Amino acid sequence: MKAKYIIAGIVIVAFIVFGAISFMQNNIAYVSAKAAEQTQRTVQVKGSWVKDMKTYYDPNTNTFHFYMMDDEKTIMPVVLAGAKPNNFEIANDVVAKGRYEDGAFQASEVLTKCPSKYQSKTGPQASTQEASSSYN
Amino acid sequence: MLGLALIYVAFAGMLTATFAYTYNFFSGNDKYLKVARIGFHTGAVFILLTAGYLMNLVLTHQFQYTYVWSYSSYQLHPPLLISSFYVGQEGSFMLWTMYTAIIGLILMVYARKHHYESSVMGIFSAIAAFLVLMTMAKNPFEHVWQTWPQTVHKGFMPDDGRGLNPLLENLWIVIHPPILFLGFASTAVPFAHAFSGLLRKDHDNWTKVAVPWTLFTSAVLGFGITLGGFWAYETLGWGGFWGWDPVENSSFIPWLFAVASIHTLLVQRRTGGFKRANFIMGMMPFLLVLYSTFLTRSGVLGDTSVHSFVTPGMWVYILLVVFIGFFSILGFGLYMLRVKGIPKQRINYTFTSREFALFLGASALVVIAGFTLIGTSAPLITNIIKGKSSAIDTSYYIKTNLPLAIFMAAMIGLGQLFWWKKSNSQTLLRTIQFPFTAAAIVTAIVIVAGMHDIGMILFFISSAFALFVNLEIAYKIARGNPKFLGASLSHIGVAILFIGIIASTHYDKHVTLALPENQPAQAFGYELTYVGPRQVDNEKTAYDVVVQSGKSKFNAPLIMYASSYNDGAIMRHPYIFSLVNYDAFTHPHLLAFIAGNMLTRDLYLSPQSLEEEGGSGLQTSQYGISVPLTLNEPATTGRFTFTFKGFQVPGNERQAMIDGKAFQLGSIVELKTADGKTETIMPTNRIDPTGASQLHTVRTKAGDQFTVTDVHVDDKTKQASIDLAYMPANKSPDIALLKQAQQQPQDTKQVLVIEATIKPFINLVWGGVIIMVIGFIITWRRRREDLLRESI
Repeated sequence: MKAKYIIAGIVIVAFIVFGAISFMQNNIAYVSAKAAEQTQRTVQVKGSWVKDMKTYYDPNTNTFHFYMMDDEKTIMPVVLAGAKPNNFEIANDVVAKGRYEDGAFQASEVLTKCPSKYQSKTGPQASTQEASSSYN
Repeated sequence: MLGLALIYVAFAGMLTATFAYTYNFFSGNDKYLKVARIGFHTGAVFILLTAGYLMNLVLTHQFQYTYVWSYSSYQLHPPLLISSFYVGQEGSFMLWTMYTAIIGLILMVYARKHHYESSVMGIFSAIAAFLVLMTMAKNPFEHVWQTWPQTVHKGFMPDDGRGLNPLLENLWIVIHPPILFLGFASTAVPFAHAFSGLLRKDHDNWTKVAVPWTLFTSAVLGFGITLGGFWAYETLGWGGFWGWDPVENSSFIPWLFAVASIHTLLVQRRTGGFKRANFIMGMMPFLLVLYSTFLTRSGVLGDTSVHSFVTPGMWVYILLVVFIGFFSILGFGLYMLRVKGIPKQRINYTFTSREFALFLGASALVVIAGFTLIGTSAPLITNIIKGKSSAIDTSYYIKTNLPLAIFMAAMIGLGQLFWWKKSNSQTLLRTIQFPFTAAAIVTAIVIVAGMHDIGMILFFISSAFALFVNLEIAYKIARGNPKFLGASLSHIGVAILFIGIIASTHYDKHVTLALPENQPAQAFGYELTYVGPRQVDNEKTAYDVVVQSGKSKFNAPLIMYASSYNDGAIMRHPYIFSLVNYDAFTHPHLLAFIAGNMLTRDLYLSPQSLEEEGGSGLQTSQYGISVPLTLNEPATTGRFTFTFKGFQVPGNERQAMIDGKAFQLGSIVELKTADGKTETIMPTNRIDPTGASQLHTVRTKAGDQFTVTDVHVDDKTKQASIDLAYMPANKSPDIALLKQAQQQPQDTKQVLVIEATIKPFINLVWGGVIIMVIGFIITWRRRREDLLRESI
């Protein structure tokens, strides 16, 4: 009977270790643009889109190129695998997830953080103009 | 204020029921039983009245209510309008509360019949009371002038509502949440039974009474989760049916526990073991539903997910914490109090017994739930450890859960071959032959067909093994007594689901295509032609892509638009050629095409972006006609053939370049005219890595001006290229060219960029789940019948 408990114990410990290692490995830390450039790991960088710098979509490679500035005011080029993300123009903040490689941050995902996405701050307006135009 | 008044009465009713039932349980005084029943009936009826009142406000467009204004508009018609009732947080709590009331009314009769009324209904009424409290904190009856006292005066009636998020405007919002919330609400029943078992020191009988409800929860919640995945795949354009998103995980985790508890309850029924564990297993699904609600509704996940989680306010946060705390402490506290008195029945496990396989299978489910729970809670955990929340990459879930899923599939097969107590090794060796051989053959075929990943091969062979074992058993049962078909049917469903997951998520093929208007392109044996945009309504535009295969030709409307509801965000809706595309059922030809072509795979077309391509390829700027030049590749524009020969950095500038400071960069370009004359020019740019570069224009003797507007070195190929702008001299014949280039926007061409994906055997995912759910329902009915027979 004791042997069973020992085996069960070993299995449980093995699972915990396995889970903890996977957790650490796959945990994506928020870092600055500078730190992102220095590490090989997949990280997240939070910042904002630099509107004045070259921003374009390359249909041949299906990549979206833009520059972002992090909270420390470092500007880095970002290459997103995919089209321009939803809400990109209106986002306050963008969060790029990926790895720095070949002189640019190769993002697998870019999340956009928007002001009050599903809730209205201003509430309803007395929009008489809109109402009249809709009858035309 | 009628709405709030109704809620208050409902709360009073549920509170009365809680105390009266509890008092009745401890005192045995039947007078209080009557009070409790009146209390619960009052509570339930007033909950239904509240829900009915809210529904009425939505249907009659009472936009003076913030909730109605926020989620509906005149443009919405039933059935979509009905979904406005529950798309907001306030309404979804209302829906949950409403289901709890309805389930409670049924449960009251059920519990009375099985002599559990006061203990089961006491705790159940407490749950209902808490839910009513939530609807008070998240009151859907607030007026707009209460929400926005600054901007809106009292008695204001908005012209129209804000409408439903267009992302949600499809049939699935009508079907998916009502089923999912029924599943959530039903988890309270096994909780109440486990709790009541502890209260009564009833260690066995409660499981029999609870089991039909656990099966019901598993069926409904499982179906609801799949509908969500189906919706994400079909309309939301996630590209798949499962993204390990917190919202998905939070309904998946309680479901895993519910399914695991079906197995552990079965072991107790057959052997008497697991008496202690089952109390925990019975309570977990409900507590996990509460925890999940907390994760996804309290705003704690914040920035870490694709979903925007609205912070619902301090009250809801505190209430949710109290809600979880109260029922966890109550449940686990009572368990601690009673655990010593629960007799331990020793199960004589042998490694080849069915109870051991069930134990291992249930453990695998619990561990999967645990890993998923930890992953989903990562933002909370990292916040506690590091003081900064960060999410986890979805590869974590696959890495941790794949070995468990392989093991589980093997158990699904072996468990059915094992006998209770101990298997006869000779019989086992005989019965294992067919399924094992069959699985090995099928796996050999798929390896030859191109499956090389070792993890996938193991997952496939164990799933195939599970499938063949259960198919053989199901065949035997179906010939005998089909009432007992449930378990093997559910297992067949799971095995098919696994195979569908392997095929559709690991062997899908993607390609990104740029489709110039009316120019066909080939992908996966289909010819795709973008034929132009089409306005669908005020906001939505469909970009029609004609898909041709042989003689059949069908239009795929790919929808892409900026949504004003979402502040101008771009929404993209894919189109799927698939058996599950409900468009197909309105077009018989399309259906026939899909049935003939798409049984084994889906063709998934997703719009990415709309680009413009210059008709003549000429771009202009203030510097003239822009000519893109790659190193040593001649290009002809107008009178000249240009060849970019390379860069030159003056000697005294080299150190500056190496140091990353500003430096002069010359671009050597050879100009060749048609009559053979050559001239070399070198426009220079001042490159400043930290700021704007300066351009210097070069003027030739003839008066033509040249400017390098962009220099570029490809990171990977190290290929150098420049953009050379060319401004012809006044009398040059190239002036006409410049004018043409300046006017060229008229003949630009639209290019639709799409992603085409082939998803092999994704129908097995949907089919597998449906078979699994049918299995649950069959077993649920049988257990109910068993119970009725036993109680006579």
